[in-house]
Amino acid sequence: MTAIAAAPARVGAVATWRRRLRSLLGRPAFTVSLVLIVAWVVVAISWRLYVPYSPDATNAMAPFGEPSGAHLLGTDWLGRDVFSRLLAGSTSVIILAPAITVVALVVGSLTGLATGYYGGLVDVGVMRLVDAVNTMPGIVLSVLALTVLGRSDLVLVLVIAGGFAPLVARTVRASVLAERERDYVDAARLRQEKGPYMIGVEILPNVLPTILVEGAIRLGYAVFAVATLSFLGLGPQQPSPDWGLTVSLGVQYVQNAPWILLAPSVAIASLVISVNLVADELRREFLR
Amino acid sequence: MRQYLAQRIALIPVTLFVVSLLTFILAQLVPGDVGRTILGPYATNSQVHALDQRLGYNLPVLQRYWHWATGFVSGNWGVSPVLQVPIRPLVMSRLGNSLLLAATAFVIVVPISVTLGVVAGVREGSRTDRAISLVGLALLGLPEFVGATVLIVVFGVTLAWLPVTAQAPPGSGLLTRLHYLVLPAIPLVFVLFGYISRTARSGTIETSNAQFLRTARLKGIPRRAVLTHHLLPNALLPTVTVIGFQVGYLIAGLTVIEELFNYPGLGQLLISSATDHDLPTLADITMLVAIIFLVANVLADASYALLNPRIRARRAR
Repeated sequence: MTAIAAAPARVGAVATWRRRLRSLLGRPAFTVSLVLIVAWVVVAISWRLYVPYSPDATNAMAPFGEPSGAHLLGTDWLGRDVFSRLLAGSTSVIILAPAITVVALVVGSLTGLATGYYGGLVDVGVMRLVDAVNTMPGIVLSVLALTVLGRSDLVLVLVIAGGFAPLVARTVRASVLAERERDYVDAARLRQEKGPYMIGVEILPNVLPTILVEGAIRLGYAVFAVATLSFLGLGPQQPSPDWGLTVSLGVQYVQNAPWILLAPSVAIASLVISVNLVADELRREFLR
Repeated sequence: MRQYLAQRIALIPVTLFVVSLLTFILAQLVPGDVGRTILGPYATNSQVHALDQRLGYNLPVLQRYWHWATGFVSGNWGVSPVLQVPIRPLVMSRLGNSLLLAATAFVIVVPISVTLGVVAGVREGSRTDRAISLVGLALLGLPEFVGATVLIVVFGVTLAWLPVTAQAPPGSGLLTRLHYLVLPAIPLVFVLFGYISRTARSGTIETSNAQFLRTARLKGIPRRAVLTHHLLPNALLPTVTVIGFQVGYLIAGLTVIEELFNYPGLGQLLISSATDHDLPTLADITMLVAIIFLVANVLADASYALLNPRIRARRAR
């Protein structure tokens, strides 16, 4: 009986998602940004196939080369090709930022769903802890943790995700609290459904838009955080072509060879702005 | 409201206690051998042992925490094992430099972003609004060092209008020092602009739709008076609070800018003590930053209560 009743609802849900996607694709800000993000992801995966030079190949004869036909964006202080390093440098942030977002979303959503649905003492306790974590400015906590635990990608992901998860939990919890009052939850309760079923099958699909939008917003902050920490020397280490690291090393040559730091700066800007525009359009479409 | 504020203030020591535990665990328990972490792999065992003894790291855990926490509260922060100078005067002078930079950024950003935010809000949906909102959104997510490097290349190198270092020559007056701070402050302005103008905009829109504003308009009050006397005092309330909350963000922004411009502020000290494994200094900076952050947030909440005419009226009654 429930299966029959549920079937049309599922079809309706798919149609709704399809309609929303079509409406989103009709907006230039969203489409252009999405294409740019996809392009960077493709580059991050496939740059080895078409980079003109090896990103690590040094050339002692040609340091600080100006942009030219041979080197589209010039060469850096070791004579390495700036264009090749620009493409190769996308890999670290394209892997780390989504990893941070996924960890933060999974941990934060589970916490938010559980505390929001069950309430009670667990809710109070977890929310106090969330408040405490939020009072530590992320940068200080990250620097301290990366110093003590050592600089590795895993620590970087866990530290930033650890700072984001409480924020996700708070948003999801608020959304669950609103859903809990709806009729369909009462109906399921009358059918004597159990907690995990209620959370997973009844409530989760309805808070999914919230989680999706929160994920897009967090992804923007994650790119920001990864770029900033690697600029501060707490991310990938030399000779990685990572964008943030390259900018911080290129600063001392800014007077004579500004292209070394301009290329990765513009790349970070393009990625971050695209992610934020996509997140903003998603927020408008789903959380009106 | 007063009760809420009292509650917030009473929670500060509790939160600080949790933060101090977290800091203590990270800076003193996780590294295992603190002396070895600070001195590095090339120090002899007796050197490590001597440092552990001097810093009290050979005591039992609870005693160590007590030693460190009471020392921090009484202002006795000890001597940095790496820099060999007393930590508190060093941190405080760096904090002063950071505050000067932060103040410069705020003086530039607040008038600009509030004005543009209100303009966008008043003309909601217009082309002006779209442009201001889009610029704000783009700047909001731009890491400070990205904006800063582009600015350095354009204004510092190509046009050579502004000095590219943040530090004025020693002995120069406040005005010269401020001149040197303009370029470093602008990237902070970029990010802050996004948050502040957005809040000013949505506050303006929300207030424009309120009943009392319609009444004011229908009474025939001139447009300008409606704007300055009825709309703005209500519309900008959330903005004041948001400006207060930016202090937390600003700490991260300052760190990046100080590092980039080689400016001797608190953020630069944070990074250099991390690079040098100067854990005692790192722990004290963490605590100080947490205190500043907490106090700023409570002040932001308090300012909302003080400025809100409704809450003020309730108290007068």
